[in-house]
Amino acid sequence: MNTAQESTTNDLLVVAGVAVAAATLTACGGGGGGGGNDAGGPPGGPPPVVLPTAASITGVKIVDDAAAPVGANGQPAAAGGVAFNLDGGTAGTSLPKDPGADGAARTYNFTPTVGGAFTVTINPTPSNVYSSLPLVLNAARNAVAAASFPPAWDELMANAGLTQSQIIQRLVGRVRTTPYEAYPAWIDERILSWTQYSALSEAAKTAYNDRRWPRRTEMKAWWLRQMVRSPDPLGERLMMFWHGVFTSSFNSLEEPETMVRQHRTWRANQGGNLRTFLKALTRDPGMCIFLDSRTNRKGAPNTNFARELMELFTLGERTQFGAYAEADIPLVAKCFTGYHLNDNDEFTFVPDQHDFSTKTLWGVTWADDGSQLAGDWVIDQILAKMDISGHRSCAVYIVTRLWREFIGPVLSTDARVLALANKFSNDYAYELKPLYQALLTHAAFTDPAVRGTRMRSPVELLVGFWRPLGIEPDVYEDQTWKLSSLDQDLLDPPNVFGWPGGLAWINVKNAVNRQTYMEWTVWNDRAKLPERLFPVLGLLLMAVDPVVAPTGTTTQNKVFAYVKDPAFNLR
Amino acid sequence: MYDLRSPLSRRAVLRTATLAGLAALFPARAFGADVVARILAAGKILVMLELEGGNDGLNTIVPYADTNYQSARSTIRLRTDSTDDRYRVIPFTDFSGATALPKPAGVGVHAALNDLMPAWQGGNLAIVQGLGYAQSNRSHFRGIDLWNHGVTDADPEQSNGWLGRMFTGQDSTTIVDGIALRRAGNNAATMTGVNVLAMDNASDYLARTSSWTAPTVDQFTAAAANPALLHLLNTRKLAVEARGQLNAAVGTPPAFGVTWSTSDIGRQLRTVAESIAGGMPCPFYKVSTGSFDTHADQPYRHRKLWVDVSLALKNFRDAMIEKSKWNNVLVVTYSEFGRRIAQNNSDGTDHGTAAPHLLLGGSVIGGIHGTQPSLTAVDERNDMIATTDFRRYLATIGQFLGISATNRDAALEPSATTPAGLYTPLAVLA
Repeated sequence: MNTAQESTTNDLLVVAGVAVAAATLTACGGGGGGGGNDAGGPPGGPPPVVLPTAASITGVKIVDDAAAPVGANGQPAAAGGVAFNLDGGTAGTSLPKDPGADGAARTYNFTPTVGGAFTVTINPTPSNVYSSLPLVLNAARNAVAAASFPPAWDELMANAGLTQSQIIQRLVGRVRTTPYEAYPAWIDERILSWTQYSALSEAAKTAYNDRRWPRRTEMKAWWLRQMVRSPDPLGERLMMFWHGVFTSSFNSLEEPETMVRQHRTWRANQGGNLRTFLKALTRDPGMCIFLDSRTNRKGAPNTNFARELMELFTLGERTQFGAYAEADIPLVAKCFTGYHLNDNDEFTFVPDQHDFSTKTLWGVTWADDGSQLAGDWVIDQILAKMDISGHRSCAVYIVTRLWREFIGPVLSTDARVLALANKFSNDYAYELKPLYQALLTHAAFTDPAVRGTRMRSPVELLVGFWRPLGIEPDVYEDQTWKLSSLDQDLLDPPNVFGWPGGLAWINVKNAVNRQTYMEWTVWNDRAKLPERLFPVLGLLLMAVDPVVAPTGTTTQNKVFAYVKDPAFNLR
Repeated sequence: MYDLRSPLSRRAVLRTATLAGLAALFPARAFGADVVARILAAGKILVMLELEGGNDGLNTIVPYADTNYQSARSTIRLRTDSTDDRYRVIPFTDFSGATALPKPAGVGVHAALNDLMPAWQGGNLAIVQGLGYAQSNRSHFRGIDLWNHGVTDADPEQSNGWLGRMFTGQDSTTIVDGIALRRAGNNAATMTGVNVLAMDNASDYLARTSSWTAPTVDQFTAAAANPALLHLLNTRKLAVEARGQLNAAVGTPPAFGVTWSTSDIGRQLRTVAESIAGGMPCPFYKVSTGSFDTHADQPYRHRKLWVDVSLALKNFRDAMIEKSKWNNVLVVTYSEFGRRIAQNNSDGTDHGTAAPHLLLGGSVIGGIHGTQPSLTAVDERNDMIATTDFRRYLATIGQFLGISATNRDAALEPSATTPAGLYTPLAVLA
């Protein structure tokens, strides 16, 4: 089957899908993708979203060489969908589905049973699958997928026809301070002190110890489920980002509750202000354990947290630009003395362990008078710190990290990065949502040339199968091992650097296992594959054309072909 | 790491650049000097064994007669008179067998290492005492980064592994330079910069790629502008080409007169032995086992780990001797750090500093090399001070492979101001 034929089948059902979705939208008056408009949007809220109607979608192009497999000519397009007729005629009597060999363009008039009529042009010019798809669908798919995860059909339809800015505003507006499904119920169970533990019966001790592994697994599965299901895909995607920058891990924290609470804290802050976020980070019990704040005492400083705070969390190893100097580390460590945990692993500031001497950092002197925690003062200094180039160091660092995550490799000296960093620190006053909005509508982000040039992480690989097809695994707990086997053990990054990412995801082992696991996954979920989406599988699953055009004639075969293709690893 | 971060190895960059110009359809191949191929031609084989988690050196090579040791390890110390192998040490003075080096009194090995005795007696086991690095911060990731990268300012984001760096700037004519087993992603870290075949195990890899074909010229051409897709296609090409070689070598696994251990490390070393015996043209292997991060319940866990490791090494040595390969094989251990002198309250030990490591092979000088660090002249945290810089150990391995002193030094301390010959190889090789 050649490319033109491949495109054909895609496009025909796109038409059917448009009709279905348009009807759905008309019926429920907006939404799609789950959830209505959400709290937590940017100040003032997003502008009214203009939803597409059937009538507004015109100029759909179809390359037609083969029979449409489903949904054409009066057949119901999908359960709950609408039937439509070609050329307004009676079922089976309209113009032929297949106008035959490539020839002149023909126009078909569609009349969905719900919604207005619209026109479809049969365009015989062979082209690749994406350029021949309705541009509104293609653009919407790419906007959502590149910013978060590939959208499901309903999610896609909810965004079709919107501008990039509107789509991103919609996504950013959905980023909430809490997840759409509650964290595991045990998140606030008290971590026992040694005394409390010692007082337990032997059986209770065993139960207490044995809770750890199942809870880790439960949380990993919980998060994977959110990424597949949540109506806030950008929020989950951002959580992956922040979890990879401000790292901790189950492995490094004895008690699973500590790690899950850190997750909750990051989520509460990732849509807020970086200043608040960083101050919360310094008090996070997981961080205090992971980077040894709890052993950082007056007279016996532990510099681990101070070093990583500047090197990996806020300023970067950019000493050549004057971000910070090695000599700053002991002073910063001194500021965090006394950041301890109580016997139940809750944060507590212990004045007796704190060094209250007068602090001078980057030319700013403060008598540590107890008016605020010295660590908060450090965060304020970090956010005020200027590079030698006159840019706020922390803004440059965070923007560079985000840019690499969402757009691709870039130097922190890139003028575009510096410009965005200036906006972040000066215009947005370190508010994060406007930064996300600006980044995800940036010309570098929307540039079609970057599509499909970045490697999917293992999480994106699996989520990129279930989410766009609108299906879920039977048991999420049975899926997380695939992630760890592919070197992305969720909530257990290998070290404080997080996951290396990018091309480093792919070595021979991972290339082989990615394909193998995806085949197993499709096989396990084969009964759930949505037949009605057969012609748009390429649009849903792939960021770019597959290396090998799929020849499958069933949904299952075609999905197999897509997930086995090297290009399935791209986003 | 901030500005130079690139997941591309230097070689991958070269390859990509070549491909982008479509000057070569064989991206893994170029021409010119080729040290890996010369190592291969010389038949040298390096097997790197990582003891994941930080092995407790003091309870491996044990200064059992030192009262400082005894008092620091009140519940987990090893004794000559114990009948329980979790707590028993075998004094070196009890050993028979060839070694040109003195057998120190009051020092012995954990009884769990008993299966290494034939290697010791054959003069094939060299122990290097007191390996480590200055300014340890006791973190796992820092420790293993240092060992993987071989430089003290190791930046995993921008530097290739120490072994890979020894070949920096050299072209490759080999398909596979190194094979990394088990946690293959991390395990390849020492070798980033050369062509690494990472796999869980040979049979899964061969089975899962049985229907794979190499990308076509047209597919490479179409991907030329997309580095990520190009990397996927290059990886696929390596997977297919390496599959051909590995299938030829171990598709029908070579037989040995060895009863192989079925432990995890036993299976890994069996795969390595099969690959070598089957003639796989690949000089470097990386295996690993753990976790040696014995914060609690150390007597049971540490013994179990070393029983598995020493039996697997015994099997491997026997297999290599059987196939007349042993003289050209070098097995080296490494680990993030040693553990603290003083045990903790959970019958375990916490992250420390220096530790001994083992080299095995037909061409090592058997015996104890280097100096056990003092248990009383200690650092600011009361931990041992390394007596031998870990880079001298890495330089020794480079010397075994025939890598020039210039290239070794450049890989281990890539600074223009470093005097040449700083990392003199240890006198461990015959």
